[in-house]
Amino acid sequence: MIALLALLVGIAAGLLFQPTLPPVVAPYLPVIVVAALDTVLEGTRTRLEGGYQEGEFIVAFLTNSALAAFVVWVGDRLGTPDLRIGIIIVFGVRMFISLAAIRRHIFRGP
Amino acid sequence: MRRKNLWTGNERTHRKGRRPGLGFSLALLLLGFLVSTGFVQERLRESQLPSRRQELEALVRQRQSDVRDLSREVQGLSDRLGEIQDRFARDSSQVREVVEEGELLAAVAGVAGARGPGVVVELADSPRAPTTRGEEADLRIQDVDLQLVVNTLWEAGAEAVAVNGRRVVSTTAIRQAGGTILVNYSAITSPYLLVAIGDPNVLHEEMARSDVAERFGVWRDIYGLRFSVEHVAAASVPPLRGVPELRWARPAGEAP
Amino acid sequence: MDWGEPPLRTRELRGPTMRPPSRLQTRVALVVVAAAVGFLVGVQARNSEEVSSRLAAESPEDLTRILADLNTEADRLAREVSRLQVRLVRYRTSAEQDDLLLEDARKSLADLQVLSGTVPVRGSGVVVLIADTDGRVTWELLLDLVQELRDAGAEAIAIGDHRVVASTWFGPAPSGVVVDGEPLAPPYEVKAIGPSEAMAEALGIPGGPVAVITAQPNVTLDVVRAGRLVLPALQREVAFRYARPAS
Repeated sequence: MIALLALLVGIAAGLLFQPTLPPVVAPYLPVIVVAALDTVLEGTRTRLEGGYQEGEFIVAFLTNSALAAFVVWVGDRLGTPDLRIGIIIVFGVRMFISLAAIRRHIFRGP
Repeated sequence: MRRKNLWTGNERTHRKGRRPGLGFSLALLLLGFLVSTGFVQERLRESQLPSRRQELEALVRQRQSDVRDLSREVQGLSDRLGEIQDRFARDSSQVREVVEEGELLAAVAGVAGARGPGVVVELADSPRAPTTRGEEADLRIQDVDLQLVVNTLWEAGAEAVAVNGRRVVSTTAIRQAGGTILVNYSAITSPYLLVAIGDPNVLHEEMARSDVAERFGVWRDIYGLRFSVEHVAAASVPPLRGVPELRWARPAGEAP
Repeated sequence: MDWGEPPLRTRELRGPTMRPPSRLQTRVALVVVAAAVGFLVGVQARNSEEVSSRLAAESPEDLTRILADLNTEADRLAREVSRLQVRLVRYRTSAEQDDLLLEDARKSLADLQVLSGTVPVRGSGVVVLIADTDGRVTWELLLDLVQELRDAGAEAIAIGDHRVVASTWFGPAPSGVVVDGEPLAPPYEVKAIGPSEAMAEALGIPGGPVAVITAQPNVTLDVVRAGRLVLPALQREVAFRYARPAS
């Protein structure tokens, strides 16, 4: 419940303060969001299934986002923007797997 | 009281690896913040885009009218100078001789406008938007492309050539500065229209079977560059704008 | 907030066992997931909008180029206006209008003669000497070199005995190049009259035609500044058969 509230507070903060992103960072926001979303779904899943580790989750949240941004950065430097698509696919697949696990858990129990 | 409960609960569950704590909430807070920031950024960008466009359009319109006014002024001044010259040319046979000799050369030098039959060669950038620097070179017309087409036109016997309204004379450089092609030091953009006056059939034939045309036949399919040659019954080529005042080269026969 | 407390407390009492989550926790999870999916959709929608607006952004870029073009044009016209005004004032105020006019007419005739290539030309400039024993220097490279010299302000150019004017064309030949239909074999001597400092500097720019030419094996290129150069007149007759003067 607190987590959900935090999500809403985060959205409200973004809309309220309207921070201006430097143009250098702007291209990485979409992949960071996707990576973060995946980690949160993953976290939700482990919460439901057990074995949730707070520290591990935070580290995963930060490193996944950082790696996603880094891969896109490297891709742009190498002239292959396709790496961005690769990131989206990888996290997309993971999100579906997490989602399936969460669904299973909610409807069938552990 | 509650807060304390939460904290202690948190610590315990953390150790046992079961209950989520503040970290999860913080992560979601950050996620929400990132998403809404993205939303705000995008909306800001969209709202700024049209206004910047309008500003640019207004500037372009302003500059266009400036250029029109200045051209009229130049024309007016040239006319008045011409009148004075004509008046004196009537009185002085010496001046008349020199002016007449100059008029004969003006066409060949490219300082006078010319019209007649010919061809128009059109080259244009690919409609595809380049994503990398290498692709940009492939999808855009380069200075070399225009140089080679002009070279082929001269070879085919063209008498006068202009690129996007810039007359090609003996001092004309077709050169690239960054992504922009300059002809007579003035920037031109795609589509590029090369007008040549000469025998339309010969020009068309030579152009069609040139190496440049052959290469563009391939590039048209791969990159979407545009290349076409068309007959024109009445083409017109403008004079060189802003005749250069030569500072270094003098006729060898002239007294130093 | 208050209604969120009992489950926490009860769970605390139950202890950390692998039990199914409480009804409330399930509901929360469901809401979180629903929200996540909603955001996914939102992010995606934004993404596709971004692509379309990026395409529209191509247009302002073109506008900027057009604007730069117009600025150069306006500057040039403004200079032309002041030049003509000076001349007009000189005609009006000078006591010897006749001499002035004759002088101006002669100067523009001389310029036209130089531009059209009908007379030999003298002046200071640079000489580019290209020694090429293996025939590596192609006509495209020479054309590129000529363009570079013109860009640097060359007013008259000649390659060997061939004056290079606007209509001069280059082509391949078995033993060298073709200039205006005449074969020409190396070594090539390219003379250019104009600002020698600017031309020598332009030729030395990395990645320019000189760098490309000297990168060929067994090719040497020397740029020599010359105080006095004489370039031959165009050897062929330039006569218009199709072009007529346009006012």
